[in-house]
Amino acid sequence: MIKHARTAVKFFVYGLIVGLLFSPGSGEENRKKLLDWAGGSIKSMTE
Amino acid sequence: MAKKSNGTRAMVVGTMLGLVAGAAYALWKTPMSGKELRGKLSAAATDATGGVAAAGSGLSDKVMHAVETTLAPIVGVELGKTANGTQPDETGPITVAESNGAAYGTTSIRGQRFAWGTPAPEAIKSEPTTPPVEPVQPAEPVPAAAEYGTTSIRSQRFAWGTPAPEAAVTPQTPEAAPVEPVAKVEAPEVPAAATTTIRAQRSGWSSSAAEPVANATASEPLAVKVEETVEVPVAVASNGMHPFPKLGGLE
Repeated sequence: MIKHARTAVKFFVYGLIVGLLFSPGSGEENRKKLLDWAGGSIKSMTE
Repeated sequence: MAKKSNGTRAMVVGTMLGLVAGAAYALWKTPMSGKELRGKLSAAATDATGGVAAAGSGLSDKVMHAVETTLAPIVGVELGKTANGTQPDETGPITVAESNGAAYGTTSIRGQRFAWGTPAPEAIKSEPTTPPVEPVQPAEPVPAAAEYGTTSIRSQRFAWGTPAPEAAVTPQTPEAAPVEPVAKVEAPEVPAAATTTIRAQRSGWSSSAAEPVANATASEPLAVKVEETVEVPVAVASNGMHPFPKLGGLE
């Protein structure tokens, strides 16, 4: 179990590095884009 | 078999969850875009490698210096000197001229010309290798016994020779004060062992206007020390010229 947790943490760090290096914008821009996309999707689904 | 399969699945799920969670967190919190971050990282890496290269270069210089200083006495080489004792880029065209016993010339050392020796007045006129040297301009009407003049070397004027006493004493500027006569002090009689001390201080020409002082002879017994200063106004010095040192080559 501990071995699995260590693997998960290791890949969490890998994901963190990849996300930082290939982020399309800053965190604030990404959050805004994500919220806009989510809001538009929900709105389109409800209509 | 099932237990092993469960372990593998858990590992794969953990890996994927960790990867996605890490990427999501990075995208949520990243301060700049990935492009900017990569540019900053590459610039920092370049600076770091440049600094390491510079440090390595300095280290190699120190190592080479230590090797040279260690091996030089072993192989019989004296550091800082060539085989014939000259610097590689030191020598230049040397011009030598001799006239009337005066040796002089110019030497180029590392692109800069230096004049050496004491040129005779006639030789300066015919010196073709030193363009800055202008022909000798004889000063005002020169007395027959006087051999002096001015020379312009690199826009600076020098006086040479020894003027006649009359020419040196005669003030050219109206403000120049005339030469004060020597003050004589009458001294009481003293024993014959007494001496006379006469101190004359002059500026400018080295041998002129000594006649006022010369009328006191050492054979006259005097008890009082006579100290006086004879100031000779030199006309050439008022024009900003520097007296040339009296050398044997000019005479």
